[in-house]
Amino acid sequence: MDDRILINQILSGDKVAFKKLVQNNERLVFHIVSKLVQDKSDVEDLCQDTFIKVYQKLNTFSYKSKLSTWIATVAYNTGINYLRSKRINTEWDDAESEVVIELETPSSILENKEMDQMVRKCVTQLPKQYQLIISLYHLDEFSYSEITEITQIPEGTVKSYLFRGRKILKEKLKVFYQNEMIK
Amino acid sequence: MKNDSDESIQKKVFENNEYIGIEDIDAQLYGIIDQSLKKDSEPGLSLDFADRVVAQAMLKPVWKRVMYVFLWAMALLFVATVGMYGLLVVVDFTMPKISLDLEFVLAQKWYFVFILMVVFMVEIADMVFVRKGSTKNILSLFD
Repeated sequence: MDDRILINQILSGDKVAFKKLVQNNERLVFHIVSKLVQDKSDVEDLCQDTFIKVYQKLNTFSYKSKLSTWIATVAYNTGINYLRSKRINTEWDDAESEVVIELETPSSILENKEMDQMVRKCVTQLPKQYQLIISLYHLDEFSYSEITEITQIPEGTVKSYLFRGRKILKEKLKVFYQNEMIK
Repeated sequence: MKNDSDESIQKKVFENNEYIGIEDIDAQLYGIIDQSLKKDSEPGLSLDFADRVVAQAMLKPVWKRVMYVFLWAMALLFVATVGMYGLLVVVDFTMPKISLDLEFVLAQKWYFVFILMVVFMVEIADMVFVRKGSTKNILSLFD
């Protein structure tokens, strides 16, 4: 359904339309919030807050971007505001970006035969900003400019995070492939 | 946005898996990350998440709720008062030996307070239940 029709239905008080909007975007919101907030018990509450804000501010949506991009922006801001309220550092400086992820030993990788599982595990070990950008790009299929709009991170930095995140993953996958070939 | 469809990526990555060399990882990396993340088995949000969000979002703002309670109380009071007078008239008409004076009706201030309290309690319970995750808004039954 077209975003404009869905929004008009919601603004006229259609509960079913709003439920559809929530169902269409709940995974996206969950991906963003769960990448920012570690405490699982808070993630669902923040996802709920996100959709309440979306509902309350829907009349201000100006159709300058896709509805999903706007919802993602609200989710991101909700997550960031939560981190700030908890006095958790939200500045993604380069020092943090230099975190080196400990490579698994070949034996543990050999035990982990599923590559999907392996990739997911590697991603969860990446610094927060890489996880979020990789998730937005690969999982939610946003473009660089859309990611910039959501996170307010400059496009060059988005590309850089994506590049560095992939580089780390590549190193890990190299080890994985080497061991697969030895087998 | 990426060009390859998930299906073609999957085919590229897993077809003849043993021939994929380390040097090919760069080319395949996008696809590998894409499909691995999409198979993400994270449980995500609870099944009734959308219902709970809708219930909470549809809660009216405070001033509307106060008006809502007031109007409901007035409506109930009106119905109760008319009912009382009606009852008196019927009793007076059918049983003339029983003498009922209007003092009984004037005691309506007590049932006014009672009605107001009941409506407020239902409203407060409603807000508490919805905030605690109930998918039902009690007063919405009367909307």
